[in-house]
Amino acid sequence: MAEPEARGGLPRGPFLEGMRLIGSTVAGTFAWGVITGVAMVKGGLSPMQAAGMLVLVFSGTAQLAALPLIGAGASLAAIWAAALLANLRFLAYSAVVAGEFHGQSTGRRLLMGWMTTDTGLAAYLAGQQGPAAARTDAQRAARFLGANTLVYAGWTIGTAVGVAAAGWIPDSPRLGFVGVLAILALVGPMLSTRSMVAAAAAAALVVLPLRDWPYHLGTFAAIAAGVACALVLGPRRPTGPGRRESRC
Amino acid sequence: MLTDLQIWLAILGLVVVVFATRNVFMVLPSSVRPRGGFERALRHAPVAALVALTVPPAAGGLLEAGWDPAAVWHDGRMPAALVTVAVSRLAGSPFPGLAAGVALLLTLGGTA
Repeated sequence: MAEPEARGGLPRGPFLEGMRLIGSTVAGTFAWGVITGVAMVKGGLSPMQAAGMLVLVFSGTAQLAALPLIGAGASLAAIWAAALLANLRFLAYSAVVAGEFHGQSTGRRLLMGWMTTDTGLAAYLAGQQGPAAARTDAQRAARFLGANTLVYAGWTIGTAVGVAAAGWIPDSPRLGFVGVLAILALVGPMLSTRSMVAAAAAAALVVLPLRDWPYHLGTFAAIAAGVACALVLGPRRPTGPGRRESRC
Repeated sequence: MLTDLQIWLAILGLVVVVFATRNVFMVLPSSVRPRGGFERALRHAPVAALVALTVPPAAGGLLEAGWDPAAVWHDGRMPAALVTVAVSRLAGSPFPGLAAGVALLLTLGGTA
């Protein structure tokens, strides 16, 4: 029997499965969104400008990199350059997503590219490591969009709450740290192969001494170290259904 | 101080920057896309990114306390982070790890 389709011709089951992969960690995304919403208002944006940023920009690191510069009255070029540097890791994500979904229409691939998030892509790739990996193009696309749609919802609602309630919500490191824990909860299940563990360890070791580099450049260097480590230790054949890497 | 118009231009520029960086390889010819071992290695970028984004705040207590084990324990961030990763890894699912990590953070006091 044909699988029920969600809007846009994508199968509903894998879309919901993508949402399940994100699951409870959306609470952390929500918390991080609240913090960013508060930061936007306290950084000098009007509620209308904050709303425009939260709906259209959809990038926490770019927003948080740009806000201090906007508050300080920096030039537009400096603000955009800061966002570009903070988003360099998305070049790598773009290569992965383009390769994974090359069978989709251009419009849908652009939508998928724009909706790509750290946690959404990570959860999708982790799900593809197991025996329950989505197999067809449509199933994989639906699963990817399901994961990132839930992240988008959590982020947008959280940021909106932060903007609306900025006057009542104190700057709270504890609230922000729940977002950190939510990300780490996604990392745990991903550490199931030697190359994933090595990439994570390399990133951790590199980012600590470079954590004070501006515009998340230390983060980018850590990602480069993780990818380099995976290149050396990684599988010789693609991982995925029927082709699983040696596991820890 | 930026004018309202300049702030809107800044936001529109951010939209362009974010859209462009996320779609570079969507619009470039497939012949320039990374392939083979490099493409497979790039699939490790998200886990490396998540670790790189979370290790500095998680290690904050350790760095601020000067490697004093008691202070690190009472700060709560590092123990909660380690428990979150360990439990979610063992459970093979994020939720148990997140629940355990948040519970430990609240129990130890965490960051003020």
